[in-house]
Amino acid sequence: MKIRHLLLAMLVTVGCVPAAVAQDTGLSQRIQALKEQVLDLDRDLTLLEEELLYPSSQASFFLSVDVGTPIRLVDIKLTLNGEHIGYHFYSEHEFEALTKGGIQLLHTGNVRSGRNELEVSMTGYDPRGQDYQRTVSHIFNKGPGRKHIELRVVDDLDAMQHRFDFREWDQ
Amino acid sequence: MRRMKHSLRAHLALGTLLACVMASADTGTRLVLFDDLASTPQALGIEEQRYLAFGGAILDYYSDRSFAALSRLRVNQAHGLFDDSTEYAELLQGELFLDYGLPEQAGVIFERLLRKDILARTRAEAWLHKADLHYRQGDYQAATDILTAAPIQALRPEQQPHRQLLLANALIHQGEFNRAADELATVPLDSVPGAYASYNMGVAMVRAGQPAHGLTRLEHVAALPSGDPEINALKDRAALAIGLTELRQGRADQARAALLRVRADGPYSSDALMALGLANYRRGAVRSALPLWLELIRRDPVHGAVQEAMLLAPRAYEELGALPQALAGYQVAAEQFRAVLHDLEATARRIRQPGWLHTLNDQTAALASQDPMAWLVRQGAAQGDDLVYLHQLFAERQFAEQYRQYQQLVRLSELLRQHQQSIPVLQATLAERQQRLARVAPRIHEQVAALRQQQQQLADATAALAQSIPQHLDINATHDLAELPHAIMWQRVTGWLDSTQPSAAQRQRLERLRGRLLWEIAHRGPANRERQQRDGAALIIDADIAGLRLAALEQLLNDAHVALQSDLGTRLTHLAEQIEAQRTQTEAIINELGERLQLAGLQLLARQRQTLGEHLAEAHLSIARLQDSAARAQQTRGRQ
Repeated sequence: MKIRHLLLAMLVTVGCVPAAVAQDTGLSQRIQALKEQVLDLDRDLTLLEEELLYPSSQASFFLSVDVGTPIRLVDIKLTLNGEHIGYHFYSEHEFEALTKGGIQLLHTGNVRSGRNELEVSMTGYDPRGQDYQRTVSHIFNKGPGRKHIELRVVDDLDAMQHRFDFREWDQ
Repeated sequence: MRRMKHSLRAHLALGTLLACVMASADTGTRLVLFDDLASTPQALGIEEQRYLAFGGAILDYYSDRSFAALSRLRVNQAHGLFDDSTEYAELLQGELFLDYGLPEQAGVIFERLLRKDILARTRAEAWLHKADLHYRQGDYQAATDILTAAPIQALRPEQQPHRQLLLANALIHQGEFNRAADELATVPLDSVPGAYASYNMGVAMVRAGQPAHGLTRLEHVAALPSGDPEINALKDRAALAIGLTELRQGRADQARAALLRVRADGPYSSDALMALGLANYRRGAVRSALPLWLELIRRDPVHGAVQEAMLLAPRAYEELGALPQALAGYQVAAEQFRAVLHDLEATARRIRQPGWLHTLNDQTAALASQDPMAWLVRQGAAQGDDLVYLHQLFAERQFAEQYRQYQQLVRLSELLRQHQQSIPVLQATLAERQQRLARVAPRIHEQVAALRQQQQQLADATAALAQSIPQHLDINATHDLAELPHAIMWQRVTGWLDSTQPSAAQRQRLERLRGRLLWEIAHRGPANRERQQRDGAALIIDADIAGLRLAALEQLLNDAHVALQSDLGTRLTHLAEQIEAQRTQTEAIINELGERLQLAGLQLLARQRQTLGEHLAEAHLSIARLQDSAARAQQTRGRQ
């Protein structure tokens, strides 16, 4: 008799894998309300920060890669007019996010108006797993409005390496 | 489970993106990918801003920063970039709301999308999300209705497995196994979601009184080739479920065969050893059962199967007539049960202490990301000594979900704390900027006005100069055509010839020099004129750049003026008050939820204590019984 109970208990333990959760208690509703409030607050604070920290003449530098690229980006260094303004090391997870259509904001800030030189150095692995380093520079003029520059890392499968393309937008 | 969901989400989001890219202009706003590169700066229009903003949200989404992605979408909504017409952003936001635990907001978005005249594929994706919403809310019939309706068939082929799995799971919950099996027929079984669905269906069929079909389904899972740890654990679980079901059916040999497939070093090995012993015991092979239980009693006594084995092993000795070994076994079991009871008591004390739940958090996961929606600790990922007693709780759906909520709230509280810290910094920045601007703005304003005047004059002068450069070469205008050193020399030689009274020889030499100079100027004339034109054009550009820089300064001055006039300070103070109120509220809910979890833990420990008490009593009774029978036997031998 005891052994039969034991079997039943073990079968219950093995049970189904939890799939969906349907609970709606008072506490859950309070949690939902709070989550919504926090989300609103996070948005409002970001808007205020933008208003305070970034005047309407900011410059932003973005990075994107070819969707599904077989080449792996390891890190990237950004220099503006000889001054180091950013460095980023890509985890596997982050690089995967880039290859799925993500666009990374590398730097936002005030850039002097007129002629500027952006220098980008990056290291990566080609599809054969060999590492390489490349540096490119880009000259741009900064005017009174916002300036957005997108650095596209494009596959150059002939050279089995990355190629950089720059795109500029002025407001 | 998380990973399988993530990969499905990845397909969905990318699919959404592609669908939006391919959408025609008359079906709403589409996302433009800008494949054609322009060599010169383009105007930053709304589509370009949407492209960059949505790309940022996608990066956060796939980097396990879903809260940041959701917040970014809402910030850009406030900027006017995303609205009802940007379906791709709407779909992502709906999904993120769902994951964040705000199903009503997600539902509103999906309803809004479905009312619109949008691309059939986008509409199908909205239906899929809506079905997911119903499924999560436990409304399996509504989910089934959507998943079998015509509009959802427009999903892209790579999204169909997700639909089929969702439908199969909804049907399993409704006991419609045949239909669920039809849906699963085309889903690859060796995929993690496919294997889970098949396992769930097998167990559900066994429970619903269809053991034969259920066992077949479980057999498919158990026979999967070894894969990643998740698949391997599921294979073990399926083999164990088969073994236990066969045992209940009284088929000890089949049970034994299934249980032997459970890995010895896997998470279900103790349960399998116990059941294997029971299988042998049931078919009368007590000698075969004993070594399995003896192996089991060497393991951690906190495990239920080990505790059972501690009583079953001496009982097997008893049945084999080895009474001294049986007595020793019961005595060891009693000692072990007492030790576990002592441990349970200590665990209960720890659980009652404040901050106990924090000790369960996986610090590695916490370090990886602080996003409130990032991967949180669930069953198997929590850490700490107390978990050996509480793993059963984490296997319970409600407890696991509440614990996930608890962790999310802790992270939200941390986020609020960071916001609270940033407010004084922002206020100080604002005050410092306002003071500085009030001090320097009038002076800079005057200087900019003066510089603007200078720049205008410079621009006019350069334009006039450039215009004054003749297109043709006129040797009579020697001073314009010559390079500067030649022009100076020409002026001097001509002056000497005109104003002095040179001797005939000197005049001849000067005239010869003037002739050579003229030849030189004429020879270099074309190149020099080109250079003059280039320099003129460069001067115009320089004057323009100076104008551009002045415009930038004027823009900054305008920003400064706006900053001086703005009510940012008041708004920051208001936000600080909001943060404080929300922190208080969050802490209250965290405490309440923590108490619930604590209570659930203590209740589980109480149940375990009761079971252990029963085991202890059984061990003592068995000891007494064996000692009595030994005493009686001794007395009998004495009388004889």
